[in-house]
Amino acid sequence: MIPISHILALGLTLFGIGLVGVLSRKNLVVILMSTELMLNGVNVILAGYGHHMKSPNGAIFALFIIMVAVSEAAVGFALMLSYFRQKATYNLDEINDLKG
Amino acid sequence: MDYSAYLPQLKFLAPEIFLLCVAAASMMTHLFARRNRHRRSGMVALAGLAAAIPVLLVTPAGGEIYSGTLNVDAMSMYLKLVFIIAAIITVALSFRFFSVEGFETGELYYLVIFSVIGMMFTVCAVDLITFYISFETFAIISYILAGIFKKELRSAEAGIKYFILGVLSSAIMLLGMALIFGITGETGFARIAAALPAAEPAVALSGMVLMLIGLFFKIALVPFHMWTPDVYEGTPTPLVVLLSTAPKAAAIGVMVRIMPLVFARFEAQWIVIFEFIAIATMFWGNIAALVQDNIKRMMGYSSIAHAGYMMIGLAAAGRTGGMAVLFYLLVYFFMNATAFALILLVQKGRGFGERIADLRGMARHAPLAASCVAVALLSLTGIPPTAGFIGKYYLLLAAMEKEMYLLAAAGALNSVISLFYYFKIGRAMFMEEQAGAHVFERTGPVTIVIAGSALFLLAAGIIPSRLTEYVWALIK
Repeated sequence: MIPISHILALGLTLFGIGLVGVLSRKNLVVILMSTELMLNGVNVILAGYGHHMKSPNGAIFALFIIMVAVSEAAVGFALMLSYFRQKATYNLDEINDLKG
Repeated sequence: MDYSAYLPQLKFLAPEIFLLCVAAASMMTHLFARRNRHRRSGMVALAGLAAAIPVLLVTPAGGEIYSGTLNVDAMSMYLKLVFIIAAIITVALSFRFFSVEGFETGELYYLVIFSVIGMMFTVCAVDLITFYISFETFAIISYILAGIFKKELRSAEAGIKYFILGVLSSAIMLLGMALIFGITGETGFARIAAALPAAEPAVALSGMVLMLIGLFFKIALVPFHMWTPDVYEGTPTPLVVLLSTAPKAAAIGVMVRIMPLVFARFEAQWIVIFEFIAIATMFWGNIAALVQDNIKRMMGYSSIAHAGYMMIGLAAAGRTGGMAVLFYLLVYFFMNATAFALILLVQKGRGFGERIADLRGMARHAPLAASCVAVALLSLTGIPPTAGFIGKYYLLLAAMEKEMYLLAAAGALNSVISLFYYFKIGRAMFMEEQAGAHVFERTGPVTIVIAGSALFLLAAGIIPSRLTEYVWALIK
């Protein structure tokens, strides 16, 4: 039996790696991958706690998150494609026509 | 478990089911209509949304249904009405916008309805899983709506920016929800509330803060507001009317529901957080709006400031605070809809005049619209006899009742600051001569929307008792 603190640490590490990726990388595709990593970190925590607390809700919640992550990725890539067709770049630093 | 009660409980979801059918009908029209399919799908959506209001009004409030995952109470009914009105106005304004721009996408109309359905479930949800799914339903659609105007690079950019920050904030919110689930082992709000006092306080508190970050992002509160001006500037104007009001109303409705119920244990902590954020948001929004020249950006900052005003009511937790927030949400919708719709009055070639200078001379060429916009500006500032004054009165009253004098003073001071930039619009409309060859709309959908909003703001400002009594009854 793996102690719950190990699972929590794994989940938080995955989440942290994803968070650093979103905040520091400039390529839109890598940013999208990093957000998926964050969601998967949460999934690990949910599934682990669900098992620990003997509640099926954790695993059910994680399944729903996987579904939402897929639709998020679909919308994200569609938005990128729509931008790319007009201005061929994936670099976040070059996406700066709106300024304030 | 007894599942036989589930089928009759469908009647409490009649408005959502009805709107789902409308969205499907609109989608089919978009796919199969022989001529003019984009506009026709919009017509179906508009007629369906209008018919959804009576359906909503006859739907009974059912309390907790579906094993305690949804709570169809009076408050959620009220917020659902706000969402439907927001969608109707958005669709009506979209007709004008796309006629002028000469580029129409029929998907927009049913996506608006789907996002409204998502928000309707969000304000009913009393379970973490249900809440997350419905929250993401409208969040993901709002990223599409921001980037839907494919002709325009700015729209695609707004979509990408909104998407990245939105996904980031909802992942953070999700981590908070996972921690709260982890220490309580429950997903229902009432059960979490019962289990939370026995849980590890540090984990529970960080779960709450992480969850609030996701909600603060949707409401665009400082320091989670940086996406707002860019997204509002790039998004097509009719959709800004929707995105700047309905998701905020949904997130605030959720906070009115969960903060006193689920996080009662940390009341002292979240009141301090809300108080600090309310003050920071009001000042930041109003001061940044002072230097803007583009109306959409200015109103973007103005909407940040108004979210700050609503936080006063949430910080002054209690019956008066809750009532003040719910009342202000409806008033804010009509004020904000007018503030963004006024851009659609000024046609400049195949686009719209977004600069304040483009509004010059409106009072002479479109006197009705200009005077209605003036009512909305008075209401945004909080000057009687408009509904904005009544709304601010209740918000400040709630703060005074809880002896939060600093908060009340900051709210009053910010009303004065906001006067300066709202006056800039009024001056351009009434005191300056037109420069340039743009055309003002004299009569049409935009004028009707603006006149209707102004009428509501005046009526609710002069005789507020009917509406305030109704809103008081929503708060238990």
